[in-house]
Amino acid sequence: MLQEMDAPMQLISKRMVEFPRQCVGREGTQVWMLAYAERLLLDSRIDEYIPLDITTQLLFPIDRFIGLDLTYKQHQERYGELLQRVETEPMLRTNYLTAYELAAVDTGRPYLDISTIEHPQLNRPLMIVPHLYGAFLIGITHDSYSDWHCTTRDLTQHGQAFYERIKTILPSTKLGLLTLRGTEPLVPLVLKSDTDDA
Amino acid sequence: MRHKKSYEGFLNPPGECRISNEGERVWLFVRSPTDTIGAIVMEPYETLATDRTYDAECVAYYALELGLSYEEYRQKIERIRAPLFVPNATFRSDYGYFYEEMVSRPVLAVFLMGALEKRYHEQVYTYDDLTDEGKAFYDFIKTLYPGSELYLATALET
Repeated sequence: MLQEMDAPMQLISKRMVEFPRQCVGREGTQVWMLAYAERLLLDSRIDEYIPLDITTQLLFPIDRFIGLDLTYKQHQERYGELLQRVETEPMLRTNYLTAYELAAVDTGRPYLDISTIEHPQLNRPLMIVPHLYGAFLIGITHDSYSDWHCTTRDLTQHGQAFYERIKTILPSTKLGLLTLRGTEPLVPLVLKSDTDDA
Repeated sequence: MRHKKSYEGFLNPPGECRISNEGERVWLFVRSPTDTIGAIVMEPYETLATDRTYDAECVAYYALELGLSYEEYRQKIERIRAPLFVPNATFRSDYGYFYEEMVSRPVLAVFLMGALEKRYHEQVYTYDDLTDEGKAFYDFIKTLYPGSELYLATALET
């Protein structure tokens, strides 16, 4: 059992993220380093050569989202505004997103957005992180924290070095640190045999 | 002449002579040792094969040329790719169909190793077709994620 519990820590040989010392639960937390193709995010300088299909994307259910360092400040401000409006605008209470989720969507673009893609086993909307040269799982723990999301200040020396390395490999790379709830995969993998049996 | 832009990244194609005007892209996938952690991503568009599956996929292709039915060929390819890519039953459009053919099993990392404007490699990129810096990066990633399997997937840009 202990071996199973420690498994996530053993997946990454170098400690890259300094998680807080005080945890508030055992829901789990994971941190992904995102390498965005910034030229595609900005949709500018379109006359320049950009190979087609050079990016990928990440998808995860919106209730797993804790924060993205690139948008966190605006996200929190918007969340505060929405919480105040909930008291005076009852319509907000019936939104299918919570105020926290709605604030994430409102302030996410162009780094993340709500997706039209669905997952057959999930009933919450998926968020999409578009235009990625890549993504790296750099931290994972069984613990969960109050009011914490990963920023560059939370990277260890190994994490900082890796961050600087990734930034230089491909042109116009912009990095982000995505903090999600849970240790499980971003979405469950569905095999054809699962759907055939259904 | 290859493009001056640094999308070449870590790629060191075996020759300067272009094979075709299709571009090529190479992705590094770090397959999680367990299905219980990681991200599921779409298979890159127009993936030829990975470095670890290319030989087996060629054998399946020769069998197709020798009379194997296309359906059996597709099934063989699916089985060969199954350690990394599986048919997509995970991401569907809001109209209810699964528009990408294949998705990855959970990965701990995925990264574009490079992209070229033309095609310079007749087969698929392997470790030997990376620059020294690329090999060093690959080796680092391998030690960073112990127990994981690394794949280099070559895709064409059509």
